[in-house]
Amino acid sequence: MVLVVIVVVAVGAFFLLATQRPAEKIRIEWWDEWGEARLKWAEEMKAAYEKAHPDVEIVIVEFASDEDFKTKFESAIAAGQPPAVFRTLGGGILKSYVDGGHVEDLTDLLNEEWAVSQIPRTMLRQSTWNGRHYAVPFDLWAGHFYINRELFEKAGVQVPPITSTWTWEEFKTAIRKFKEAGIIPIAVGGKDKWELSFYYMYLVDRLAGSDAFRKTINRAPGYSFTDEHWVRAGYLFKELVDMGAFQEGFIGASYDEAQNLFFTGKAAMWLQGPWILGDLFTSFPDFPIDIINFPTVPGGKGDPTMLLGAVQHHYAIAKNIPDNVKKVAYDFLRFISKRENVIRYAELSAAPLAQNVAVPTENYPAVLVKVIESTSRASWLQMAYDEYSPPKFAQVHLDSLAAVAAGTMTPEQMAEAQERVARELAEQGILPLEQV
Amino acid sequence: MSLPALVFVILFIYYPLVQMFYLSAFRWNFVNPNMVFVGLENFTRMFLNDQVYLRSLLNVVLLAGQSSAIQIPIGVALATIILRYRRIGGLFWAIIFLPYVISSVAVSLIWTWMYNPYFGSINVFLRAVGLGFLARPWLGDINTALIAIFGTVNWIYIGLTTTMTIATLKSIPPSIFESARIDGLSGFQEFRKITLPLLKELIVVLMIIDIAGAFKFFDLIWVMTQGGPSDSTHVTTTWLYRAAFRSSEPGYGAAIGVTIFIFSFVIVQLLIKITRSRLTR
Repeated sequence: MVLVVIVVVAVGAFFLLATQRPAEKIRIEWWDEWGEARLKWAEEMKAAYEKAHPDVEIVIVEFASDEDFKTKFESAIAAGQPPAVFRTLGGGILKSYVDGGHVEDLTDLLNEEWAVSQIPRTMLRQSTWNGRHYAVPFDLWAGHFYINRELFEKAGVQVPPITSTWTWEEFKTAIRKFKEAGIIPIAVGGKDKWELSFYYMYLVDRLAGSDAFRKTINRAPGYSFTDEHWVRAGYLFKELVDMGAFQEGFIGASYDEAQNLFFTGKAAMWLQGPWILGDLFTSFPDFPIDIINFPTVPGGKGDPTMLLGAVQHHYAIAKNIPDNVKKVAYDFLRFISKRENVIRYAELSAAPLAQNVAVPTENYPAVLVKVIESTSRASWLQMAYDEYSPPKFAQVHLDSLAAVAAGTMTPEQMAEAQERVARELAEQGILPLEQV
Repeated sequence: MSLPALVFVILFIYYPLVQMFYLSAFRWNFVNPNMVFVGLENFTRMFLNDQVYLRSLLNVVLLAGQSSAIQIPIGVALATIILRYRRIGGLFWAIIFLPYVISSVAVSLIWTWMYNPYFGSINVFLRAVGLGFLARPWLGDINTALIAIFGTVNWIYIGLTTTMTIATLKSIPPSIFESARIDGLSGFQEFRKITLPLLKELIVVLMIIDIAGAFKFFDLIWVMTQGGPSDSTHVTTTWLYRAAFRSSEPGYGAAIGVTIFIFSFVIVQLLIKITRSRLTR
């Protein structure tokens, strides 16, 4: 009997305490696939913002991978519980969320005085449709061959300066020299497929120029994925596969396995973005790292200063959230975009900025300064197809290319498969994404 | 008392099942409020135009078939050996059962590294013993990737088959074996005439487990190859996941789910029927 009384009182007390919490804080969920360095930045932002606004709680939610993020984010949207502030890479995926009415129109915010001077309008390209802006861009990425200078020396291969580049023949000669020296010329993680796509995208741009993809995917009259350069890019890629430019079994190798080959000095080159540098400097601070450009191809019409790359991380606000939360979300977005906070972002993430904010170069590793300079010289940044396109096209593109690498599909078949799905998406009204 | 359980079953099994059938008739991308009704289009696409889906069905059949053909005989043989040499048998049993207890993602990662063409212990071993010509990129070659996955699957599940066989054999009264020995049956005769017939029921159960298991198999393949290289190792579940979440086509993914449901339902019903008629004879 006594025991029952005690239990009842305890349970009652618990409920009393639970309901007597102080006034509800406004919760801002902040979703991103952070990674260690950027998470540190997010935590600093959270601490500073909460200190200035005791009634707000910033909840940082971390995701292990882009795919993880995408799956959870789409579920959250479908469940009507979107995070207030979330990161996006822009492009076709953001467009599909905008079309579904899930993303707040940030045009007014981005036309505020500070934003006009700080955020170049060209950097809004990936998040603007019909003249409306939907996200605040933060950083950029660019694709280069990251190289191991020591292995270049060992194989007797001259490192071409970053202001110029190899021809296709010189590139192939270098590959042969590496092979003779018993060095893997290029590491690539083919299992995740997007690494293979880097080669194809560069080859298309080198062959046909920067317009080719945007015009073709957006169904401009006279453009088709079966045009000659799409097939030829497939064959040039296959040429690399057939001459053994990549490591053995590369089609089944993961990003981690490719990274392992490059970091441990077994492979001379790795076509990647600056995100590899954080891990590299953590494990191998003295690595003889450098970058070179993707080679040109015979008869190519593309500008060799063009780079694969894009605005990478943007932040956006969900449309369907309570007004008081939305108001704080706007304010928080302005807060993290403050000059000093953006500089801090650059220092921690070691990424080139998409905002007009000067970062003292001594805060960056030398190779990154090179990446930034090369990016500023670029005539065009080609956004990755699988980020720009609707997911269904992206998947067909990636799958077919992996099949070409495995020899189970010809470049012609790949070109046809891409054209077929583009037509299908145009019939469904998903393409074009923009008028070109 | 069973009400809460019922609620859970309805909420997490029957409701999603109905939802799956419903979704399979639509074209949708998760985020667009407009779902387009397409009737049976997802199904015609699957069987007429989707080579990878058909390949994934074949892979499920191969997986179920090889699991039955390899795991059951080896499991039965190991069980017989373990029971005969009880003293070291216990230790041996523990060792072969161990893989089944490890999380399958961990197992997949371990084997992915073992299959690695450069650092993997398998190729290193082959080269060390002078069989370097056999070394290959196991998971990076369309001719060996599926076989490599089967190897890992068998490594995990032989322990389970063995354990179930041991449990069944232990439940057989020893007097049967004793009288067999008195009647002068050799070890092999004893196995063929007594042990095997008594294991018939178990073997059917194991086959059902293998078939049902093949249809719901996912994690190991997803971690080891993601269905690659060149879509050669997809099973129906990995292809479903790819369609629904990578290509953002939940309607098509649901349609694949419907076919998985129908296939496994029919096959298991069939097997149960066969078992019943045989066992009651």
